[in-house]
Amino acid sequence: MALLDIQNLTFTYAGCNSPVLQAIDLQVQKGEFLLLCGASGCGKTTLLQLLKKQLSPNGTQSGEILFDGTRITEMEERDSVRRIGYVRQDPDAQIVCDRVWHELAFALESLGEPTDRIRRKVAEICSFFGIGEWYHQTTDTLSGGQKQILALASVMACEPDLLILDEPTAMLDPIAATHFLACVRRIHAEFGTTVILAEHRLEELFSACDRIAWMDAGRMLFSTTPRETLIKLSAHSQPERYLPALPSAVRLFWMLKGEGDCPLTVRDGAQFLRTHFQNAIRSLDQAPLSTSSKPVAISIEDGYFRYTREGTDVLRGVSLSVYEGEHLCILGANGVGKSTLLRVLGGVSRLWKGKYRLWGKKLREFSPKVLYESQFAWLPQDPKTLFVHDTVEADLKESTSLRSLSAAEAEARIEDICEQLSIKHLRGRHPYDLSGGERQRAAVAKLLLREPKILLLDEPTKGLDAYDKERLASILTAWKGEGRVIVTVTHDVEFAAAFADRCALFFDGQVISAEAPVPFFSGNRFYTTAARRMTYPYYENTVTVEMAATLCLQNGRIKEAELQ
Amino acid sequence: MTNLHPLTAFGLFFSVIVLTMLTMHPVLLLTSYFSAVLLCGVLRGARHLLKSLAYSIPVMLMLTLLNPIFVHRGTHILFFLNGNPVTLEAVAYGASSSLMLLSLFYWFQCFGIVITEEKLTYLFGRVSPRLALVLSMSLSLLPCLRRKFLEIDDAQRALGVYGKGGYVDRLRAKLSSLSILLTWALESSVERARSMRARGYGLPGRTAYSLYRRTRRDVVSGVLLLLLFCVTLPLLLSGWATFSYYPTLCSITWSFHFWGAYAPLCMLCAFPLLLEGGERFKWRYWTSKI
Repeated sequence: MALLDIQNLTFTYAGCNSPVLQAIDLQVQKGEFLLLCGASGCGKTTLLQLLKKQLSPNGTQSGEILFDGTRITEMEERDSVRRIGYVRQDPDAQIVCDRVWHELAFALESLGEPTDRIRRKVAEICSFFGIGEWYHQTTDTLSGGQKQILALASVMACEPDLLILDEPTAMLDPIAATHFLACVRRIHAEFGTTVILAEHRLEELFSACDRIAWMDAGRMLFSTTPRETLIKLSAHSQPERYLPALPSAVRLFWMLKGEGDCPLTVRDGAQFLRTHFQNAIRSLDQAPLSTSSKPVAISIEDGYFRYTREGTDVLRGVSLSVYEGEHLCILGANGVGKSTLLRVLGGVSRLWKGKYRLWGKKLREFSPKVLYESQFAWLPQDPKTLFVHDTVEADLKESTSLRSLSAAEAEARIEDICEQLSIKHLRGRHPYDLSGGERQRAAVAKLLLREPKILLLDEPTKGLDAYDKERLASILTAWKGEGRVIVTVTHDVEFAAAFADRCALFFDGQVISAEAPVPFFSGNRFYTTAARRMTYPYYENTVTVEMAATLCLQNGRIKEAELQ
Repeated sequence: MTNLHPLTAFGLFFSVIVLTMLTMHPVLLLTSYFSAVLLCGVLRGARHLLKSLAYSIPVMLMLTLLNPIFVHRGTHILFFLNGNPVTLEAVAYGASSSLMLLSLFYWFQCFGIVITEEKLTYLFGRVSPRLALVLSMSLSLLPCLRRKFLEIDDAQRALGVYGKGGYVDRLRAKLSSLSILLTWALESSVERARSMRARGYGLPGRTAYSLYRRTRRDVVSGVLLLLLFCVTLPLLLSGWATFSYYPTLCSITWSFHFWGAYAPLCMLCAFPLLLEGGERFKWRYWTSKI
């Protein structure tokens, strides 16, 4: 008997007319690792919340959800708490207590365990997850990655049979995300806990899970093994909607219309290239990047910055120039000060030593009014902080009110930008009710309406699915140009490789190198894209899947005869 | 001292502080003062102690001189100030009361070091587990709110909404930042409540977990402290070691009554010092052997 059995489930939110989930059938066996995929807003979260009694949203439901033979709604409260663990997307929202140790003990306290048993469980869990070092800390001093590990650990303290994770890495940087997912895989491998994981990040998980369930617009398209998934997806009417979400190896295979077994991992992808394609042409022709002719928008020379007088310098001798018309991506690990550099570039924070020039002039020569109203627009990590009104519409109007426009002109501008970013239908909604991708687009709209010259983006791809990411990128590419500059701070190497004009690596308080994406990522061996890892050393200078595919086609296939 | 069970440590501070407040006997106050100062020095280091003495001694002198300015009782007139007599008794009384105030100051400082926020939450939890949880939650919420407000404030400043218009406009912009912080707080508290329910909050029979284990040392010293406190309190209240300042200073009598009240108080005051000293000695002894 399956551990979880969903039969013909249809669900409609209270106050809505159309159902969010329609006729869902899904069985999950004991010990299985199920990956739940689908574009954002397709009903993944609703489905997962219905699996836990305490989190079930209000609405009407038909069909059955059986957990170990019992209806979810009829499960005993205590049983449901203990046997089904749920980790959510936002690390801040699920942490309740001020101390790490208290957070770990929270569920056990609720279940009424005696102190000695709790002590032992907490000790065990800490050793397993490596929490020992920050056991006594207050929870607000933890990094996002640590918070999410803590949330996972405090759920695991109850030893659940079923672990549900709803996009747990959406708010994390890639390194923390990889660490988190490794923890989940370890739990699955070592305890045989059944795992249901909803994710956008398929690069690592695609080959690691047992089964993939793919949802679209409230329906379950299919649920099957990773390899079968590819066959089903390729038969779908619009495969291009799913393609960007798949691992690089799979995308390469599809672009080349490969036959036979599709490679799923970087290693298999490299093997596939070597056995199927020649490498007489080693690299694509590259147009050399010419920045010398372009005017400099912002330049920093030997800049130093610290937050407090007693603190250490976050920026230590930074030198960087940003040219007109380019999209510069600043990459680097977590917590090295990338966001600080962005603040300094945008004049929000000022250097205590070193030269800063904006369009060749000192910052002093601009009044704050001019700076923020016509020069800079800054997208913070959490775009929620940009919205202060009850509707998206009102927030967009606030932006146009800064410019001296007539009402009709302002309306036309808003209309225009909403069209471009396809957020027309969201204008009446509360900014907090939007999905991550929608909110990001609304925030960009609010910023672009102010007609800035320089757009500063702090981790714009955080929490976006592959489809939303591509949409954001195309908006940015369309916007940049004469007199306009985009500076992005990101962890997302794939995004930077595909869409930046120049990439800069920030490390140890300095910008180490700033080059065009191709030389930048081909120069790196570790901190680089999956496409580059897959093709090197067979090909040179291929940093995106598209480049790799083009090069393969130029080289041509290895003839069957030659292979033998 | 810092690894004493919070309940024992709390009992210790509670008894010395209460007893210090109940007496005006100069010997008792001096004992309390010096042990508090010493303990503070041991806990925070000599450097810090010297720094704090540098301002606490002048304060003490000032307080001493304040009393005779307002109080003119007493028989031994030292001199006249603006036609008012300054008496020896009033000076002595001022000295004693400032001694009491300063010893309380130092005891509370030691209290703050030993009973950390975490231990305080635990002590509240002894009274009511629910109260402890509320305390723990609000302690985690405050820094969260503060951080969020700074984030919103930064984002709004960069949007240029604070730069435009006059004072009123700027104030309005600030207020709208605050109101969005409220929206955010409400939303996140709903999320948090769901997370709590998902982890079984509200089930009957909730227990309160704590980091602290009661050792034999805690129990023994706890009982001892309780005993000393129970002996000293009624003795002090029934006037065993009294000292009168007006109309003339009485002399300190080294009587049975005095020793009866002084000895247990002295032991109470010396207790934390002995504990801390004993631990340091053990540490020295072991490191010298390694």
